[in-house]
Amino acid sequence: MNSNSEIKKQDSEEVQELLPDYVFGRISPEDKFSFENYLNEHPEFQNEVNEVRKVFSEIGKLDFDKKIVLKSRDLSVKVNERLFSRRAKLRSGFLSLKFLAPVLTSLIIIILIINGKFDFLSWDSNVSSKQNAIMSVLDKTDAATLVDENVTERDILQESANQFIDERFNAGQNIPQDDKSIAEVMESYFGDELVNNAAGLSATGESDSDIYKQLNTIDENDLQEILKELKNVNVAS
Amino acid sequence: MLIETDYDIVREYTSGNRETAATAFVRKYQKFVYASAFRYLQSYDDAEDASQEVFIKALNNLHKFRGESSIKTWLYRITINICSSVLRKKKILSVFKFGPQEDAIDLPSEDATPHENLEKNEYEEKFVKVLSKLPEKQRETFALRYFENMTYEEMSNMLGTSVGGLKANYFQAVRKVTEMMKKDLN
Repeated sequence: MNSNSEIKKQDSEEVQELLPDYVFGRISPEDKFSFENYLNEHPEFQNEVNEVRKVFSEIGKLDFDKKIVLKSRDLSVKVNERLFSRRAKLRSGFLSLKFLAPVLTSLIIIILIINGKFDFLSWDSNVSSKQNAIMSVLDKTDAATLVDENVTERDILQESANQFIDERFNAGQNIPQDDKSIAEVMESYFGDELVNNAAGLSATGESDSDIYKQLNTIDENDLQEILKELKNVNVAS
Repeated sequence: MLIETDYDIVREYTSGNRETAATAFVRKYQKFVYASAFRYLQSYDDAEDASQEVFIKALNNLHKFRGESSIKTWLYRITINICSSVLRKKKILSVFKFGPQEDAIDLPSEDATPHENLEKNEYEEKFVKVLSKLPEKQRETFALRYFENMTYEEMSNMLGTSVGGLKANYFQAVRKVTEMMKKDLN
């Protein structure tokens, strides 16, 4: 009995669910037959059918379809505008990037080369700093002696010796004839020169930096000679 | 050349005839997408923005469409996703907004008198509000069946609900709408 009533209830619900399609005329002939039979058996349900019909006849007057059609009619134009203008922008942006990037890079490199900040030969910073140091030495010293391959140590010594002889000759002093005497006199000469120069510098009040500048102008061989002489100077006296 | 079927649209779009195919695609589904978005968002302006987003997203991904479901079903899913996102944003924004909110239902009928238009607008507003109060499944079912005239089989494929379940949802939706709207008629 219970199962029968359950089936009847389920059937009743299923038939009731046909109401919207019945009212809106979208029901199959078989379902329509079942629904109308149900209405005959349950006249109270007819009220609900009538209410639905009345309310939805008013809703039908709202012309939703018309409004939706009106509101959405230029959607294709707007979508195309957005879609294809966006694509065009992306494409132009990509193209400009594709061509602008190498041009800009080349320009930057050219500017750096012109300004001397981009040195292909000294890309490595260590190499660069070492070369800078050498260049500063060259600037401060007699570059010719370091760069000119024809100038040898012998030439420099010869020049110094000639200068020494000229000075002694002009001063009416004797010019030593043998090598040993020449070496002794020159040693004495360079020693005197150094003392005189040092005294002169202190007398004129030249600063340490000026002395260093002058030292920078001294040739390497002369410097070695001076250092040898300095070893013999008695500082205490 | 006429581009009518979904197959034509996808073929033309992927073969490079993009603008023509896009136009055909939007024209074919604009009413469906716009109406779905409007029922979800209850605002013509928001529905228009959302519809544009839906079509742009769909067209950008048209080459990925495998045809496992109908384009209509696929578009509906995109529409619901975008509308959900718009609603979430609106809810967050509404926290920071004060004063009356914009009401977008603003299109009077050309044939009716101003008084009739006013009454119509009120009734329409009421109807849209009633729809928004329905549970989501019932609202979706009602909209697709009542407005889009879809069959239960199509809806079942689209929503993943059984035909029996859809009939029940539809009946409940119609019953609730009638119940809430009949007060205004009296």
